[in-house]
Amino acid sequence: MDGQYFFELAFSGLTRGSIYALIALGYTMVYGILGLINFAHGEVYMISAFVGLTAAAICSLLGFSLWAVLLLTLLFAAAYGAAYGYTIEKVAYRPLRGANRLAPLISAIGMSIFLREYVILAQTADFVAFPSLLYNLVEVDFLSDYIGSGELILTLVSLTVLGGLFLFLRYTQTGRAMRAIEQDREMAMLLGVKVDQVISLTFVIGSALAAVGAVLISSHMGQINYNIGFLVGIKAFTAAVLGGIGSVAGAALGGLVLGLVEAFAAGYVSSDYEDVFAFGCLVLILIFRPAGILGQQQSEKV
Amino acid sequence: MRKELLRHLSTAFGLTLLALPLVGMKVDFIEKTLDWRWGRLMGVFALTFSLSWLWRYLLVHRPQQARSSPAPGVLAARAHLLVNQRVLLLLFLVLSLVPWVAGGYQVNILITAMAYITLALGLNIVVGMAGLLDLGYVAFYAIGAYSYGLLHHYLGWGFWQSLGVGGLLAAAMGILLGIPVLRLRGDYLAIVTLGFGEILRLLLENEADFTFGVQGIPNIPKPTFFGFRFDYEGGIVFLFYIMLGILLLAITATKRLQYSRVGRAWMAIRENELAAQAMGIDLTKTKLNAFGLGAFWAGVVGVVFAAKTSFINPASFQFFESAIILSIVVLGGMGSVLGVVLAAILLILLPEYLRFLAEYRMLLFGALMVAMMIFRPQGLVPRLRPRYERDKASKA
Amino acid sequence: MTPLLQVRGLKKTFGGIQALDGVDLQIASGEIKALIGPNGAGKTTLFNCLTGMTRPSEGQIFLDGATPLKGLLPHQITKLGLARTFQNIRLFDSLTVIENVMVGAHCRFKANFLDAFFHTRRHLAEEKEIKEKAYYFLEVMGLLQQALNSAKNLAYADQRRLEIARALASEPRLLLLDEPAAGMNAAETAELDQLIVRLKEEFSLSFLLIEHDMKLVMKISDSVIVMDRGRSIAGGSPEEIRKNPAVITAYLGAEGGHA
Ligand SMILES: Nc1ncnc2c1ncn2[C@@H]1O[C@H](COP(=O)(O)OP(=O)(O)OP(=O)(O)O)[C@@H](O)[C@H]1O
Ligand SMILES: [Mg+2]
Repeated sequence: MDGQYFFELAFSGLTRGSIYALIALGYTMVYGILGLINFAHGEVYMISAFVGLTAAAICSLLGFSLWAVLLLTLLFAAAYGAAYGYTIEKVAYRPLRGANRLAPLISAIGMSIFLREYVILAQTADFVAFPSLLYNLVEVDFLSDYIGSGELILTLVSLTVLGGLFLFLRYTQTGRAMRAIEQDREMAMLLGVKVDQVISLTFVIGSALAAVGAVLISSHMGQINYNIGFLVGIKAFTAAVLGGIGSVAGAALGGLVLGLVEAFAAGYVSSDYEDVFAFGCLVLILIFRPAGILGQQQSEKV
Repeated sequence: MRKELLRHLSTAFGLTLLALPLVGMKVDFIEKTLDWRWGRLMGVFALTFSLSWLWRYLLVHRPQQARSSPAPGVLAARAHLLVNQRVLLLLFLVLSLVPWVAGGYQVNILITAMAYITLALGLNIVVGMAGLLDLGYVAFYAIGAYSYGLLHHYLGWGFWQSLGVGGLLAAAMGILLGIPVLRLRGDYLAIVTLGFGEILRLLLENEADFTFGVQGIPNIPKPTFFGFRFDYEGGIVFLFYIMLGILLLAITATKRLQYSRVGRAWMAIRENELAAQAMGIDLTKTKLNAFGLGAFWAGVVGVVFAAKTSFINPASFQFFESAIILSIVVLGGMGSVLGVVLAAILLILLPEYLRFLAEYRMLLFGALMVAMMIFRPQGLVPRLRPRYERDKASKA
Repeated sequence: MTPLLQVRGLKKTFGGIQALDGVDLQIASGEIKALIGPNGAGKTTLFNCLTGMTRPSEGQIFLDGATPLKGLLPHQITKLGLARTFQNIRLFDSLTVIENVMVGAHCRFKANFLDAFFHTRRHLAEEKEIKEKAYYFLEVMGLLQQALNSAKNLAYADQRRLEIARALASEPRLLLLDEPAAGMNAAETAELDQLIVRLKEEFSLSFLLIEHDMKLVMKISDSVIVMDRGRSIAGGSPEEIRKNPAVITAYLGAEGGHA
């Protein structure tokens, strides 16, 4: 086996995986708290990419430096992603709290269709070019055989954000409140946790992470359209399930595993089947180990 | 009042701000241009402002019961009375006259509408009656269409043989894919079925040697009548009658199944899986029944679709096709035949005639799905409870 | 005489919890057997094992001394003649009361979807019979007036009764009732008393009855079995049980406050 090629694939898997992890967190956190698959999460990702494009264009028209453009774009996209996530929750999910299980899921699908069309109408149905914000920022010598400087920054940024989130969940009051609700919503309510607020915050954080992921990937890929959220959404969801949906560490792990699996499958088998592979993974895990790697198998009480 | 006004103003302001970078600006990174589109932004503001009022009003006046599925109203009861067997037949008679008075264009649209009604009735068995959220339904539609396309291309089969095979093959696939997902909970089931649907589409795209990939299969012939080949116009009219016949069968099947042992078992599973098991319902058999039967209709319609367009490719079988069919079921009222018919007319026919709406069609679809779940989860015309009155004679 | 149902050494663990830890039990045909024990003793878990909803880790269950029930699926067990009600009511909420009972009769009939589609004679005859049977059981349980209401709109006591009607429609030989009187007032409980005795006579049914209401237990049961921490710790006539010191410590000791 060719070592060079292997490491290239490994790094490309890591790059992808760290992004899947970012987006997977949004699914997992919402699922942990509400037991709902936020079907519109992929669309938040897509919208954030478009917002990021606008932001990047404005920033470079104003003649900012490369680093400033990147940071401002990330910030701007994250803010908008968060705002969209917040609004989606408020409009499409909150009124359905306590309804039967299918209702919020169908509402989520509706929301997802709406947002796609909204972007088509407001912007365009075609692919548009996205600036590569990540390149020429730094010179890296080491590792340069295996990974480009852009990918390196991408991976570092997403890992940093992931790390920040873990610290937040572990050490802040709000983070603890989130975990309390996850464990037992009613108990948390009795203990005075403001459930509605925490749920909103969950959406805000998850969406902001997805937005960061969106800007990073889009500048890596170089183009975006209204449809990018669908596939990435499914893959991130796969990652979340792979790690054990509801578990934050699981989502990060699942993202990395999926990224690596995909990169190697594409590299050693065939890149035509990359997506089939991801979907196949999803189907197999859900059928054979729905609790995922880190999740706990649970049985319903009769 | 002032407070209300302020509240809606701020909501509208917030939403407009959300729309700002998407609706209000358009950049081109290559040309380095930035367009401001203030007019459209004002439109968004006005729209969100009025919608905010409406939203608030509806939310406040939402019947408490709307959260679960409330009793069908008087209106629904009347509507259902209207649609007894005889009225239905009359309607079909009228429909069957359409090709004599209308042109090919109209006939084509009606075929599409009837196809969607049938698809929705099929999905209704799975989602509406058995409560199994299937997001990959379009796969079975694709199986039907590709059965005809491939059987014709490789073996020279005609429409009629393919119709049977397409339906049965789809049903078989429905059952086959149903087996591994039997134990899955509602939302997981939804995702797995979505995954199946996408896998199938990707296979159709990638296995180009066999399926012709994204190029698709052209020159699929229209049905013949005992060997007689119609001209183009005649072929379409003939297809119209075939579709009408299929629809009639699908409606009859749905109506009859609702009031049967199998139909009740489906609904029991939907309502409470554990209790259904305890009542002696074989979950495996009953669920697979639902998957198979639902897929059967999709397969049949798929064959008709291939004949109608005489060209098929994987792009016709995207996830959002499943979503449209699902939204017809949801909008109509899960489990209600009349509702499904009305919803299909509303969602498929109306945009055809209101061309200026066509652009906004999917946008409205999405918004409608959300709004329906919140304000009227039981659908336009909820299923009327079967009467099951006690017979006079047996009271003694 | 071979007992109708025989349970030997039944065990079940959930993670670390030993919910059942060796349960032995016999039910003679035509008997009303009460199953008592403090909260968390494993009574409902025993029901779940008997009806195939939970797979026991160890032990045996025989029907008529010959048919093993362990390993069968719930619907197969129902078909063999065991029916149950649920402690936390599980009705088909949005179906009508009569439909609920009609579903109960499911396993005694055969018509498939083709019968339904073609309205075959089998379908028509069966539908008629199912409906008549369902009305009959509603009448027995005193729910005739409610037949066309949604199940979810029934009063609490009526919901409990509907669960019994639905179970009866599956024509069981042994009926397992999980706290049928829970949430009922004194008058309703007394009525339920008589009803159970009447059902036993009329359908030559046997009962296994989980109940916290000792008055009801003493009045109608032929024998009592006591469970504590997953074990069957005593069995015998209601009189014997009342005097058994082990029972008094386990059951009344734990529950003394509100038993
Ligand atoms: N599905 C399950 N998963 C994990 N633990 C369970 C499950 N079902 C029951 N248990 C545990 O098994 C033990 C016995 O529970 P069970 O419900 O059988 O008690 P019970 O005698 O019916 O009590 P009660 O009078 O409260 O109804 C309890 O500790 C319970 O928490
Ligand atoms: Mg119990």
